[in-house]
Amino acid sequence: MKSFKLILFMLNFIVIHAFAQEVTVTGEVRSSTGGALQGVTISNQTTKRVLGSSNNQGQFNIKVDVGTKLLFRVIGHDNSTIDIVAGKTRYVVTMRESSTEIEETVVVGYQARKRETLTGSAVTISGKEIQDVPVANFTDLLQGKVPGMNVQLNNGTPGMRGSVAIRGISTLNVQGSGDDAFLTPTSPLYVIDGVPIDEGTNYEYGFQTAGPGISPIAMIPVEDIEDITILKDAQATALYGSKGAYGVILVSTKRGKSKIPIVQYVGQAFVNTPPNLRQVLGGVNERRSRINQILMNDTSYNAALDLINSTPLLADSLNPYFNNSTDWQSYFYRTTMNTSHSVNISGGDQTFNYKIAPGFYNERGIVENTGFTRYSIPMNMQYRPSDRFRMFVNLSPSLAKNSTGSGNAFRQTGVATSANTSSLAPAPSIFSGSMGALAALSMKNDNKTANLNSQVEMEYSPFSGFRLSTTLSYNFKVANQDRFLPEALNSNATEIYSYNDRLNTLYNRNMISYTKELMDKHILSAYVFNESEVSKFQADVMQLTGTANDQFFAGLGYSTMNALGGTLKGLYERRTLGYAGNLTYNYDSKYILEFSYRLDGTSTTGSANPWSNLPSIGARWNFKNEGFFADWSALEYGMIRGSWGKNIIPTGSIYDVYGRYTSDTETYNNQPSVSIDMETIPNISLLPQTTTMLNGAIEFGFRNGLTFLYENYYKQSDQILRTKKIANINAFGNVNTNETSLVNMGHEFIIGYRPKRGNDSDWSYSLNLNGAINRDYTAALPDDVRQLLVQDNSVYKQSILYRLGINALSNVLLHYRGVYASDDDVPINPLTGLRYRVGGNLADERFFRAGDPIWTDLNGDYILDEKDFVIVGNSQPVFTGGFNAFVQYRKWSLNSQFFMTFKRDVLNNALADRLRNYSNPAGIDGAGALVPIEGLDIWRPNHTDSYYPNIYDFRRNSFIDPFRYDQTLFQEDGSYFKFTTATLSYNFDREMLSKRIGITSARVYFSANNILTISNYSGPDPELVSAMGRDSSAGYPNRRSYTVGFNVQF
Amino acid sequence: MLNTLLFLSCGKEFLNVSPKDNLTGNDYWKSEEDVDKFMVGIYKTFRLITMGTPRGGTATHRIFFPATGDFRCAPILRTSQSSGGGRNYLTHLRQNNINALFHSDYNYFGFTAIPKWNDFYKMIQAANIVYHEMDNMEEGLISPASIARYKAEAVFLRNLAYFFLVRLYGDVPYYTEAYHSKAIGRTNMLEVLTKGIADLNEQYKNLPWTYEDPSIVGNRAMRGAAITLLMHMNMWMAGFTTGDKVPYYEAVIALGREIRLENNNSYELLPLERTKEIFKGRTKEGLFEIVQNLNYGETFSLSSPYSDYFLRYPNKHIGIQRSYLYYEPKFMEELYPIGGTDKRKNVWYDEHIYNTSGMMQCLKFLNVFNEEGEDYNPDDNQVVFRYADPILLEAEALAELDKDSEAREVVNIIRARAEAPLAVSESGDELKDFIWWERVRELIGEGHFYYDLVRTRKVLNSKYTSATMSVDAYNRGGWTWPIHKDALIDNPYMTLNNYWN
Repeated sequence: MKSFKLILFMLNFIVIHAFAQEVTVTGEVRSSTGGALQGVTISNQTTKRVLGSSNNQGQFNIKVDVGTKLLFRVIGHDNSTIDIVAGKTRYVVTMRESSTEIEETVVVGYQARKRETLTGSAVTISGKEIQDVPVANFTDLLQGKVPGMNVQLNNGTPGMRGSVAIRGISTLNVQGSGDDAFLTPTSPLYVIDGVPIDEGTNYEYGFQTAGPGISPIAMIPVEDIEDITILKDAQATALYGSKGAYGVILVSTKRGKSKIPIVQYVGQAFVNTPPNLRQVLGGVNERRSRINQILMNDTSYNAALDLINSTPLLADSLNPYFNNSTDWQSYFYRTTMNTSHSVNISGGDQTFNYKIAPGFYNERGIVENTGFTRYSIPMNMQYRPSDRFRMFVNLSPSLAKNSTGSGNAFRQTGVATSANTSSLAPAPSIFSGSMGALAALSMKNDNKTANLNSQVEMEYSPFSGFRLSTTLSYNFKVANQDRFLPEALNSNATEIYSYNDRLNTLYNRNMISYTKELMDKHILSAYVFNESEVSKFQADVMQLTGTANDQFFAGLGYSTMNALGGTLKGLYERRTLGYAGNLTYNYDSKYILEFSYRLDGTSTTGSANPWSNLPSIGARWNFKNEGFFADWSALEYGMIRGSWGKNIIPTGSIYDVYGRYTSDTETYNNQPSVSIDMETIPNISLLPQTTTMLNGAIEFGFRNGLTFLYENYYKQSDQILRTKKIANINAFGNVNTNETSLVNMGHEFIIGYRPKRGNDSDWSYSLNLNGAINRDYTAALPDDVRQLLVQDNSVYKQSILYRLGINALSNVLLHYRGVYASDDDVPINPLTGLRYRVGGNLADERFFRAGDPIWTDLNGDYILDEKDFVIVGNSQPVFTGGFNAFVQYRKWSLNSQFFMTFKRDVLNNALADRLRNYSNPAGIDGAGALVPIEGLDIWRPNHTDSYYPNIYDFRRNSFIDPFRYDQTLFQEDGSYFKFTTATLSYNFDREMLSKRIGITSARVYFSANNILTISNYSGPDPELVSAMGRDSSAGYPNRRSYTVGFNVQF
Repeated sequence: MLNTLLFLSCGKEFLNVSPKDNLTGNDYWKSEEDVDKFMVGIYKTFRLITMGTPRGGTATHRIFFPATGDFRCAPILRTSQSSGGGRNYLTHLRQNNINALFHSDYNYFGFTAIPKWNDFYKMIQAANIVYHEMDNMEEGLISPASIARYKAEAVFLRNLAYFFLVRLYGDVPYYTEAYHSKAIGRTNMLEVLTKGIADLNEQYKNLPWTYEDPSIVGNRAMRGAAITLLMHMNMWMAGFTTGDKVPYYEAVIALGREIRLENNNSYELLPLERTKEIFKGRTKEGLFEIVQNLNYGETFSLSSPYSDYFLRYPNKHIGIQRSYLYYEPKFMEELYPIGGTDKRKNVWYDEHIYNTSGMMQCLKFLNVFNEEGEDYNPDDNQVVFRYADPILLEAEALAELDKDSEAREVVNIIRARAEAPLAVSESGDELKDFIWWERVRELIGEGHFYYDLVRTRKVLNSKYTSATMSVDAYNRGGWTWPIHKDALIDNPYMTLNNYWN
């Protein structure tokens, strides 16, 4: 009987199957505003099986059983369902636009999450927002888009990016001095399609960068970016481990989503123009200026005549060598025409999709002999036969070529020096001996960077709510530089410099996640994953002097004695290992509570204690979902969230912890010996840097399209690694200690307005204003001292002071208060009867006179010396923000972006350099270009009430040094407001196009970038300053670009 | 998933990466060889401090033992060979005119290195590190006996450095922890020595009397060397302490007995005919030596040996017809009375022993030359401690405690070897003087003369030195060397030797 029942039971199925007749249904998916929706996923709501998706025109065609309930899903719209009824084969589905971004999903901690459940701080930027301006690095275009993310485009070298800091500085360690001083880099972590990319290590923001300096981020074609998410607080970044402590930037690239393959082409032609070059005195004007200065200011008329007559540059004006009016800058700066092309071929649906997107980007620098070219073919493929299994394969090869001329990735020192040559000197040629200029123009510098990313990701769900996934990626990067210096420029011996490095990274992540819904309202989700990474890096360099002639760029030189070569310091093999877990409890989308924990291990700190713990906790209350808010119909959503988290960053190397042991060169008693390197003492108790962050936010949006977000954070960086010199009785020279602390506090806000438009309106617009106020404070210093001076022994003497309780990086300068109008204004020491003077041996020239700068005599001893410096300034901007306005009228749209930086002190070394050129009117070798100074308010005998001191008194210049760098005269407010980009675009009428020429969509646009900077700053560009706020003459200026772009889709 | 299991089981090993370019402390200290190589490095540092190397320019020149031990306040006189102004340092040394020494530029002889104590602290740090790492080594890698021996060797080396520091500068900073990085001030000299004596007393018995491997006999720490060092430290304590000196003399006597009577035939005084062997090194008479060997390519800096000053043609090249120095005849006659018998007089000097025109030669350190007649120094080891030294210290301590007959017995060991008339009736101060002069006689040129003057306060007495020091100068540290002012950098607790400022 039992078996009979079984047969019946089975028959029953067959019968049911026979009755469940399959029909082909067609239809159309429309948005509530009327437009067709493409790429909508259609699935069987009961079985969760994906059945297909809508095509470009929003049409769908699927086979389905009658009585099935179909679920339509697409990002940006609420889900919609229909029932398939017998006899009806055509359906029109209208999907309501989800009115706010709160419905979007965000990938945080390698898990896609609905935005309304996030407890951390995350901002998402759509790829579309940044694709109308051609740049090599997408980070440049994030400027002004994310509150709290300070992007300063302080380097215009093609292929290089500006500095990026999320929520202020995380370290106060400074390397280098003077113009070259830079802050130890703390770059955010980049995660590309779920794979972390180590961006900071080998491409650090240093001025001595070896090699091409192209970061892996510059290898990502901007056109291929789908969206970018910036994670700022500890809860959002905790799961990315110790590398995420400085913030995380997630990038996802495009995928295919149309059933019919689409071919999309984006072409851009753009013109780069240099900024306004500085005015210089040319030819006879320069000579007259110099001669006049000598005649008017020398000690006596005869001395002046003697000086002029003994200076051929001035006296021998008929000599062709000195009889020129060379516009030096014109040799180095140029306007260039560039193009970028990219094709995106993609297709498929949720079941199977693919993408291949070859791209080409070429930018010639506005400085001669520099440029950047990138070739890339990102490809990916996803196969998802059912909701249970998914496989994703990604392969992105790219190749970049760049040239940095005679400079490196950050500085153009050669160009800067040469452009600062007197106009009286002849134009650059091999006969006039202007070698620096010729080197900048003719040095061969050929760099290649090749990068291959490959990635396989698999996901499997054995039962509902439970998922297993694994990702494996391998990233291989090689970079090489070939530099050739012709013999005429290098003391009759050619020089070949050849650099090559390779970096490979193997990365693996395995994840188990589980989501359980209890009683409809309680959702509990948890996941754990482990992550491991092995990366190896090595760089080799070879330098040969003296090849046979200028045509041979390789082979052995004749001067083998001077040949250099070897492996550069800094080769490494690093391994990291992380175990992380997250538990989220969600009650009815009202209350969300979240815990994360990560255990992070790294090989850099050695095996004794490689682990660091990163706990974090976050909570969120969607208060609008409460019953008592239901009546507030004007309010669309509202929530409060807060988080606390700790990130630990292992600092220092294994050598810092355990010491470096080296085999000695000499023997003792014929036995080899090993010694410990006594430069830095091993510190076994070295602690990792700890960042603790508190974050609170309130967010709400109104039905009329107005949205607000306010965030407040407190970030404390403790145990910052700092190298400290120690007493010589310890034999070792330095010790690395963890005694420094830094605090950042700030506010961030976004105000957005995107009014709802009716279906018939031709107009639409949106506005977005965001900003962030960040303040940093020194909280602790080594040895419990209250302040610490980092002495600058370079010519700039611009020391840096850390003092507890004030901003982390303060300048130490002489306080400039104006100019002595007359000799009587100089104070007289009542004890000695002597006038105020500069320190050093007593000499007549050292006493201040009319026209000299008034520097505050801080200690009141009537002598200006090192005891008279004041602590002033803050090199870090207090406020950064952006404003975006978008207007659309029918097919036309205009998008403009603004960026602002307020309250930042910049040391204008560039201006100082130029004014100092007047200090030696008879200089020959060091004769620099003279800038016209009529416009400057400078002291003259007949104009005593001036802003700048007397510039002409060259005889006393070396005693007084009125234009010294270390004074508040050159500390200026570097605030600026920048009109970053404007894009005007036109969308062609789709109907017309597709009927006539078979094109589904086309768009043409014109954009301009770096349009206008409004600032009180007297230097060329307040943005083009180092992270330490120093404006150097040797920087690479930012281009201005004008682009004509064309997007077409077949 | 397999990966997960793999990593979960051995995460720590996965993270253990050995850098390709250098060794780290994480990978070091894994075998006896590691310890040994590191230990050799400390001896090498000691060689660099005291003897320098001929490579690397004047920065590595050293005149350490002659300047600090043999010539300061000694009755040396210059000859026609050394009359140039470039040799004025010899006069400054004789006259204890240290300020003059540093006002002129004698850096060819490495004087600038003497006020810098950095390298001694390198020895101390390194020795402390070995000691520390011995306790932290994984078990089973080397035997407990080896660990004990290496620890004792480290303790010997750090106390050797402290003893040298004390004799040079008086009060010095003292620490024994590894990886010391704090700024500390100077510790009283007597406290340094008290701590050092306790430290070494605890460990020295773990050192072997001698080694089976003949190549390291006398140049790696031996129990005899440690005992001699202890005796020296005690004698220095006895010389300077204001309290009871008796315990220190008693300690010296006990140690002297130990080294003489318990040494398992490891040490003996060789016949004087074998002088060349003694100073070539690695004999039963050598207790602690710094190795020099042309065949290994290990030579001292040209300015470092004592012998350089007391040799001439044919033991130097033909241009050097006169030695650079000779001793005052009065001094030599005190050591070797005219007509008296003493084998040392015949073996260690030639016939011009009392000559005042530069013909005098000291042949004590005269061994294989690089090339005949060249201006190279003899290829001798530098002897730091020799078996005769502890014997004489014991005799001195016995005499101080008025155990005159025992003292005579002990000093006669040295007298007998030299076939010189034995002490028979000397007693009291006469015996003390006798023993003091015997030390001068026996250990001349081995870097002891000045220190013997200082610790016995004989430097105040014109009978023993040509440059007597006033009591005031002595009390204010006139016997020390100046300390380089770099010691003040990053160290608020540091003070310099004010006498020389």
